[in-house]
Amino acid sequence: MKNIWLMTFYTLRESISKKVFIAFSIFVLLMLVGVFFAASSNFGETLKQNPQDFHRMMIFFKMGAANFVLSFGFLLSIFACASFIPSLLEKGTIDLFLSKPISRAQLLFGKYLGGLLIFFIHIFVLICGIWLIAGLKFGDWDFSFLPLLLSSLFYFAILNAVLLLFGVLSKSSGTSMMFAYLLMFVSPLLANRQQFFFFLQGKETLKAIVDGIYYVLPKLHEIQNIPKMLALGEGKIELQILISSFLFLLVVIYSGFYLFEKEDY
Amino acid sequence: MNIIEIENLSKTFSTFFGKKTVTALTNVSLSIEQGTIFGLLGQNGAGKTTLIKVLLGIVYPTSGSCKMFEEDFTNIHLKKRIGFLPENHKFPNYMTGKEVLTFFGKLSGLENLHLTKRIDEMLELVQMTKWSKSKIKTYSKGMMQRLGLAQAMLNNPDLLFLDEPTDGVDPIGRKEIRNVLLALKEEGKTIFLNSHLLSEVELITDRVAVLHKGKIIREGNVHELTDKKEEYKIVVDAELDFLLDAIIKEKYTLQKVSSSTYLIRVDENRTVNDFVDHLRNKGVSIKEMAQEKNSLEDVFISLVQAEEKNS
Repeated sequence: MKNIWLMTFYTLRESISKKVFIAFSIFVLLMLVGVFFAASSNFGETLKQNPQDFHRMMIFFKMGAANFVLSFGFLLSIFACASFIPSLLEKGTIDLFLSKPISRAQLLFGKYLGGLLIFFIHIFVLICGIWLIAGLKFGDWDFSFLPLLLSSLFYFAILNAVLLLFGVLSKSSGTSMMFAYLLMFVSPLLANRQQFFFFLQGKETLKAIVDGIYYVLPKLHEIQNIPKMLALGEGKIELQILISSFLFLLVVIYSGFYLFEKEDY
Repeated sequence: MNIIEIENLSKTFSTFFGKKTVTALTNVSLSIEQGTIFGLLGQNGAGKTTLIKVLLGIVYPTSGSCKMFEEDFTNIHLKKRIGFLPENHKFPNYMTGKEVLTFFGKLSGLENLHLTKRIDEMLELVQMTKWSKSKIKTYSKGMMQRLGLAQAMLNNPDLLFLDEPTDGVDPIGRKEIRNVLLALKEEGKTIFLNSHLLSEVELITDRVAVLHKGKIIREGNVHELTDKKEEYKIVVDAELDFLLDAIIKEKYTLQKVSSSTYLIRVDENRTVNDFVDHLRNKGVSIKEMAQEKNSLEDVFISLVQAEEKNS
């Protein structure tokens, strides 16, 4: 366990030194300032004038602000974390690590957790910041917004696992970033496949393939919407979304570990 | 006690789809005794680094077995007793020398209290105390090597693997590293050394093995390999050409190097005693006499060339 934490903090240190951590922090703080000004504008006054819709409007305000920032935040996080595995696997670096009494699994898991920690720190500041702004400005201290923290972490855990797998496979941050972005952009298309793939009407085999891909891949789009559904008490959360996404996460991480374990460096 | 025992170790690298294969090691068998300095020699691509990497679990062998400290080499806990300086190592360049040692020391399982003291000792030993708070990115190649050596010795290992340890180090620094290695040997540590600098290897190693295209083509004591058994250099106070009897001239081949220095070649089944007795009887004073030696470089080149011819 000690070795895993050592690697996690080493990763954190790496991101600070590469200025990625600081850039991410500045981005989050700027976004919070933006949310603060939005809350102070006429929009804030409008919210106060509609007490009957206040709760619902507040959820939309907080979710909207958080999801807007998060959509950039995920892009930035992928960029920030993509180099962690390839930099570990560089010739001259990996030899040093593998000559120490630390297992390959611990090494990789520490790096993976490092990425998650960096994301969590920022997302925690962002979501708690929006929650605080909403509380201070509108007196809305509703906790139903906070599950967004967990769903975002789960969302990024999946993307980070993809970075891990393709980092091990390709030893290139560019390639691993590409696959993570691809997954991010494909997810909403698959979630709304009836609209996006309308041209597949009547082509049952192709439709089945697209359905198959949807069920195999993680449901990032749906995961992002879960907190809103919970907060509004609308719709029903399908368990298969969580289970299939979690299974995808496990399979991808396991594949990354397996390949790393078998590889000669 | 043998600290490393390798038996028939082979390694073949193959591409992802297994279409191309490269044989890096073929049936390598070696034993390395505790408290010795062992040198592995070979051309670029001979398989020297691969052998070290296999022993450290960085590369997996295709076949064969190996024991270190009389245990299976895959036991991860053995690494607590091992130090390694890789060739062209890369430390995180945003860290200072001291931070690097702290991080790798912790990774080696050293506790904080002991670690701080040990880091100071190692920095002192490699003469890097002055630079310990500077960022790695400001270090020269020689400084990187010194720090690498400190990192390898940090956990006070019983077995030290050094891959080109003096690469990029100036002559004075090389001598200092040699002295450190000899001191470690005195403490009973075992050192496995990969180096291109044969003159250096010759100075400090007890045994060497020559690896050529993944095969061990010669292994032995440095003296055994470099001694020219049948050749002596002799320095005398007279010109020998006219002094020596015909019988002696028949027995020994004499080659004049300078006015008072000669090379004597002796048949394999003879000793040099007759020749010395003869000179003494003639009243010649022998100022110096020594068995001629090959340099390790000569031995290495002739072995590799012979192997190339045979193949």
